[in-house]
Amino acid sequence: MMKRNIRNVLISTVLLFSLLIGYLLYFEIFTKDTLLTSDYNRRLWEEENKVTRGNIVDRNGKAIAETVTEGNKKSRVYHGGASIGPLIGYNNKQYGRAGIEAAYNKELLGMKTKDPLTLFKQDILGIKGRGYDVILTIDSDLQETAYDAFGGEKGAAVALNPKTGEILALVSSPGFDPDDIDKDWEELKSGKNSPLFNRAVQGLYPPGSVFKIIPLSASLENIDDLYDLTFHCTGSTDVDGLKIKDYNGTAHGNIDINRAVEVSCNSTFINLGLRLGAKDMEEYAGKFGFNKNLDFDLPIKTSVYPGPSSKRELALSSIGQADVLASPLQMAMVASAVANDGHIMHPYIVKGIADSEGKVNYNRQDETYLLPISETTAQQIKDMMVNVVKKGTGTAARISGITVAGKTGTAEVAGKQSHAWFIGFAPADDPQIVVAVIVENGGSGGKVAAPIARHIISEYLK
Amino acid sequence: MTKASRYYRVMLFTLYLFLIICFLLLALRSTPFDPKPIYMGLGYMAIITIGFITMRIFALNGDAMLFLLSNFLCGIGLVMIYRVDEELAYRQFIWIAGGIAVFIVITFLFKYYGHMMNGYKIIALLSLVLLAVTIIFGKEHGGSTNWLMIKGIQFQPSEFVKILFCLASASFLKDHKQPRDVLIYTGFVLMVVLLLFIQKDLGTAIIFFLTGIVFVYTATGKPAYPAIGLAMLAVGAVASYLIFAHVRVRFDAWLNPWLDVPGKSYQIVQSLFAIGAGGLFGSGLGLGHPEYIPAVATDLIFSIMVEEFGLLVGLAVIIIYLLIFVRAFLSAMASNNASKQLLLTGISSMLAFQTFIIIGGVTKFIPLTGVTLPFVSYGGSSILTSFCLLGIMNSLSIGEVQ
Repeated sequence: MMKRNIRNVLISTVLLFSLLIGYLLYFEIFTKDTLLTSDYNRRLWEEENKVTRGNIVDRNGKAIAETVTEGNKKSRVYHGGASIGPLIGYNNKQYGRAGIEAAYNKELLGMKTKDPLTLFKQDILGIKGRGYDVILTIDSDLQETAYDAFGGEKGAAVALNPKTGEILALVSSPGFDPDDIDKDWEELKSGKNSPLFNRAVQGLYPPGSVFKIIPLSASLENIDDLYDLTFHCTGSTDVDGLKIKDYNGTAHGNIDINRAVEVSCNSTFINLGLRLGAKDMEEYAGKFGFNKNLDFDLPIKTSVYPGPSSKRELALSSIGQADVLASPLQMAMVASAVANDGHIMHPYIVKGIADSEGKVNYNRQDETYLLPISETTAQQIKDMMVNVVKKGTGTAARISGITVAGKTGTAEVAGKQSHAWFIGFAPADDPQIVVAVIVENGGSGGKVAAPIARHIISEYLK
Repeated sequence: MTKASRYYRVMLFTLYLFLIICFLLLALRSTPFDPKPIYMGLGYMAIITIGFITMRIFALNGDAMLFLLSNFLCGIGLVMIYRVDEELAYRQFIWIAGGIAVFIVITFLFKYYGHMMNGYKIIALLSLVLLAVTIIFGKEHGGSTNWLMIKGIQFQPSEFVKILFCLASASFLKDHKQPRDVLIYTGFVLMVVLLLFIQKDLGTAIIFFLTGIVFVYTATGKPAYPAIGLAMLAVGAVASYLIFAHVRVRFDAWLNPWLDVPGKSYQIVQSLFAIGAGGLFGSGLGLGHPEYIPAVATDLIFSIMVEEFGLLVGLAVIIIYLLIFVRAFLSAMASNNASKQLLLTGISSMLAFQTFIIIGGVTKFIPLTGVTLPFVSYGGSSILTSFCLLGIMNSLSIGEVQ
């Protein structure tokens, strides 16, 4: 009987279309949202044409990025030249978005914080909306000073307030001027110094001796008679047949821990690292934020301390070599623990979101992110770091009338000039600013990075 | 007044209301007020009214269901086409008017179809010749060589072959159900499919193949035939994926559209953006972005429809199609005449596959192959053929469904 066959065809047809309807509902509910935010979707830029993109302002209310309207034409204007490029990024129809412009796109377009009803009303009434202003913790004068201090050298600097976690300057050099993105795109993209890359939060480098703060913390808290120990330095240490030299092969002789920090003695720290063992080293690296994903306002790379699997690795890692990698932001956090009685405040760069009338809709709260060391330990390390600048490797960071605490680093890079590091803070008795500076392949930390840090600190505290 | 006629009247007035609102919106889109859409809307409503009265007065039991449902589809299509391209809408208006005329004429005349039911040899030959001629004299259009030009009039023979194919299939299979006959029929279907494949008209080729499977199954009732048919389709699909670049492009765009958005998968990605942007309620008529969508008046009309009218209207359109198809299947089940049963089931399946392939394609449910959305897409050949098929369905349904 054909009727049965037709009935089966009918059922199959209804089933087929039910599947299609089910798929469409699934698409609507689950896949649609990720799809719509694709950069290929030109509707997003249409949306953007309807609203005036909000401004990005610094901590003093000075505009860093603003939308200027002339007649019907809107254009994005940036203030701060090449110093702000890697941080603020760009917002370009052709090349997409980067930096704060990308991370806070929805806020700048006013899409995120407005409730649907307000949006709907504006739609109906055809109000040309204005996005929200993003208020940064950045001090744009400090940002420019810090950038200029690099003189075009490759490197990065992070300056923050250790008591709050506010980032005061976030510099990556060489940078680029976001105003010139259209003109210079090809060059910026292929440039071998990668100016588009934000080294301060995305660059991972061997930290070298600035990492010594971590074995030092572990030793102060785990080796009872640390202050009574005498270390014998011959300028080179033999670990399972691997000879690890001190900087320039200098033999420091018989020294105590205070002097070892001042002169950044590798032998002493290898000795301490081996004595502490892999477990303690890994634990303290973790306490300071290594291997931990930090929730930050910009995309960042997580600093790594790989658990040492051999004595040699353990020895090298205690002087910040082997496969230890840290971002400038991470090292600023390490210094801020010392500056802020053991507390690392959660670092942030966006202070708040405000509407065009200046009404603040969102205000970032300060919070402790990590508590790696005790107040006593912090004080002990601080004293040592003060001496590093007073009479050790960091004398180039001295500022008259201000007590600066610091630690230098000269991280070896295979086949190339070493990376120059400096981390520090000032004034030592009431720290207002922490800085971390790296100059890629710059050579000695004390000679190259410390003066840049000095420049940043004195500009901020003047 | 009967219950049925009350239903029809409610449907008719809903259709009027829909058209009035849409064409009014189109008129209000420009300042100053542009009266042209209003004229078109009134003209279309007049045609519907004439058609409706004709169907009600002259048809045996006054069955106007298919007429009204199909005009919902044509109406929304016409509105979308007007919104996308005014010039196209004028031409589509004429095609729809012609389509309705064809529908009414076929509804009255097709009851004398009896002697056509023995002419399968001639009809089958005619379909093959028409497709072969297209290959020899055809013009390329959007990647497929499936257009013929006669005295300045362009048309797509593969559309009209749909009618011939259904007639030939039904008249042959109604009393040829032995395995040997099925083999002969398969030969015919494969020839049609091959000729379409040469024209690179993949979507239409698949529609014919699947419809062939339904015809064989309806006639014989043996599940083995559809099983073999689908296996052949799978093998054919894999083989053509490996051999033909243009098939590979479509599959790759389906599997991972993000690999080459500006190139291979441009169409499907733009379609998905449009459907996603519409949400449930749509951006509103005139507020979407048809300029981003390729082939927006023809193959991808469903995408812009969902963008501007919303997914709910998209689903409503799918349900209207389902009503048309299910109604035809029910008429077929109510009938005791083998020719009627086969024709109704086959034609309904053919339109169903076409609908499924294009809506499934533009929503990335299945790989996208360009075919028109029956009654909605712009195109004379498509509109006339769809109305002709619907006319046959209507003619055969009259007296079968209460």
